[in-house]
Amino acid sequence: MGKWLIAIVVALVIGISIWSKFYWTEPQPKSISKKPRNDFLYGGVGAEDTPGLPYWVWLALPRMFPEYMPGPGGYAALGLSWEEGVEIPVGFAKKTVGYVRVTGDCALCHAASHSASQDDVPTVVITVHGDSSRVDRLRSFFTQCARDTRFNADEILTEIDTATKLSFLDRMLYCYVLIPRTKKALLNPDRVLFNSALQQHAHDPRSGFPQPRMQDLAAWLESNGQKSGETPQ
Amino acid sequence: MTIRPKLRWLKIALGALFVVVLLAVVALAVRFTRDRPVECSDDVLHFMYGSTGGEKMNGIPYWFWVALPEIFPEYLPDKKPGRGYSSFGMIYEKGKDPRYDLPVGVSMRNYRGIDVVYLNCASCHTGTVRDAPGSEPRVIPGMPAHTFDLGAWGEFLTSIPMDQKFTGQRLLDQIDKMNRDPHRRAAKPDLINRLIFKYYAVYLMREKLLILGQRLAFIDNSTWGPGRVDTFNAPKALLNFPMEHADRKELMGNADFPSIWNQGARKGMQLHWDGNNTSVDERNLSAAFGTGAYPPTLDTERVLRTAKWLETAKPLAYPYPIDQTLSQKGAPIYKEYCAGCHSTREPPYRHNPPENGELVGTVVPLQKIGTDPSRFNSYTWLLAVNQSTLYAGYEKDWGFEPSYPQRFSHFRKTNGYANAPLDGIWLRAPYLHNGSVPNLRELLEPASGRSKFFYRGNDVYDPENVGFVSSVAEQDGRHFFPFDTSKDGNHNSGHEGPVYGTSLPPEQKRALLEYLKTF
Repeated sequence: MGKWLIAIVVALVIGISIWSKFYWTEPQPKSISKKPRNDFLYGGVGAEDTPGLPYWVWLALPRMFPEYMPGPGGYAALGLSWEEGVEIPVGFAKKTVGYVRVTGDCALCHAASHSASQDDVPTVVITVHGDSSRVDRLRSFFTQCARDTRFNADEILTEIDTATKLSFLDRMLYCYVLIPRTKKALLNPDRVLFNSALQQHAHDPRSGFPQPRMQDLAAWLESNGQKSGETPQ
Repeated sequence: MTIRPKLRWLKIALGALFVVVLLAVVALAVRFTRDRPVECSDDVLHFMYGSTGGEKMNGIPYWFWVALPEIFPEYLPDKKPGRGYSSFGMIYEKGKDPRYDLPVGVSMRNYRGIDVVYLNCASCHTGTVRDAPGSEPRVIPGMPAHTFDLGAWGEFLTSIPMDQKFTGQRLLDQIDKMNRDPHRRAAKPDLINRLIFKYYAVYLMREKLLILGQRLAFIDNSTWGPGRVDTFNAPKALLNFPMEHADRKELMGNADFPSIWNQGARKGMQLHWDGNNTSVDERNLSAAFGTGAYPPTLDTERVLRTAKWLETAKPLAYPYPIDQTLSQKGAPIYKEYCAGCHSTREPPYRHNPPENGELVGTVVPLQKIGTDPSRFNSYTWLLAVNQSTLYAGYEKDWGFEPSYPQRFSHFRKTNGYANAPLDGIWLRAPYLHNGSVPNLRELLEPASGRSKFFYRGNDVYDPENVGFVSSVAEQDGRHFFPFDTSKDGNHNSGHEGPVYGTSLPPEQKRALLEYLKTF
């Protein structure tokens, strides 16, 4: 009887930890979800539907593979807008669904950097008309990383170790699940970055969204984004 | 019947073996999880020799540290063994033996059973002052390390892995020659550490130094000279930016080490020479990367101890005679010309948030201040946004209130250089952010009247001109750094014109100079 009880408790603990590492969802901070502008720039649009990029892999890649970057500046070198002081560039959503993951959002195509001159700090301009060139550059960067032999658990964890101290459980998760899975998934980066709704939207921008969340974001964009031809302010 | 005694002996033998193995495992576990930094009773000693945690990832075994100058004197500035690291301008306090003792700014920690050493804050923020050649130096914590040639020291370290003499056996031979000396600061290495040194540490160190050398290769550290560093090209190397594609104008950002007293009164000010960060905490942790303290290795409690001490640390009062009458005449001139940007002599320097017209701790546009643009250009928006990923994920775990450390969120690209308070200004020569003006007297002249060529790195004081002696090329066998203001990053222009006091009549300049000695 005692033995069984112990076995059940152990199984429960293991089961719950594994479940939490894959499915436990934390809402994004209020500074993002409660402000429509920030929600558009950084809000998740369905990270639950895609594996996304595990956050620490996302962080490590530009530091590990500068040879696939066109210049200095991490993700900003690929043309992504990035507001000073913010953890993540415009167009990426960071959300905890089991593990902390990064996915693409609307602003990846519907926001641009604007600066008056080369030396000025750029500002973010939200645009109604999408521009997928940043997605193209990201896609090419991620694919090259994934094909590189240095994209392996050993080397990526070494880079992560300069940025954070992973718990034992997270380390195991990264080593045996997330890194190998991400390597495979990144050979088709669209599936990692975008859920099916965004993928479909990219193929046919005129098709509407069945999801209420996407409909809200699209409506907000229509009334708040810059139309093409307008001078950015 | 005959088997039983045998079995018994077997059981005893197995039991004994088990106990021995268990003890060995426990001993090794204790040894390889050991993490014991040096403890300093006094805050000043802690600042000079305490740890930031950087030794854990970037530490050099103590026995390598002492052996390297002996094996590789050819890479030392003066090419002489037996003097430790003193030829880089590192400071050995009175009575210390440079061969075995650690200089100011180097801390030691027993990490995984090995005594490892690395730089701390004081390496770049402690200097010396001498009254005359040959006299005893005063060691002054918190002042710019104006004698320490960090670039040359880095060059020394990164030259070593390419040398065929850098082998485990050679190091052990040298350590054997030294490890019985009574001046040694760490225990003689035992068998385990000798094996680690020979078969692991030497290879790890070579690999790390090669990577470091390659990442930093785009920075020309031979242009720094003593007392300077290219502050913000280093984090680009840390983030591994592909700098071969960078705009040329951002590749050189040489700047003087600053003084770091009175940090409490600087909270909320735009810190760093270009004012790129308003958080003292972030600024400290950003600087701590230079001591090898990365987010996973930061020794939070010890760094906070230093940070706390720096909040109220004070500069040494000017030790030479001051003409009080003249100085009093200088006070109103200071108030009229300087105080608007540089505030008062004593903290608090300004209200927080600043009241109208308080310009200390704010940025003056580059076009207006007109000083050398290199340091300004070296700091880019691309770097600023990427620094926002540093210390990501740390907020929750540390139990400090407010949480510490936190992810960096205060770095900004500015449009010029920041106005700093002038506490201990007599110790902060040479002047301007790039150290291009040798003394305060010359800073009150227009650029055309300032030295075009001088020497940096001498710690003999020149009270007449308020700065360090800058006309001497060599002294007591030490060669000073020739500073040519026509070179990139070294321009001595700017901070000139009537509002900067460079058009004042000579007697008013003398009075102002005398008053500035009281800071």
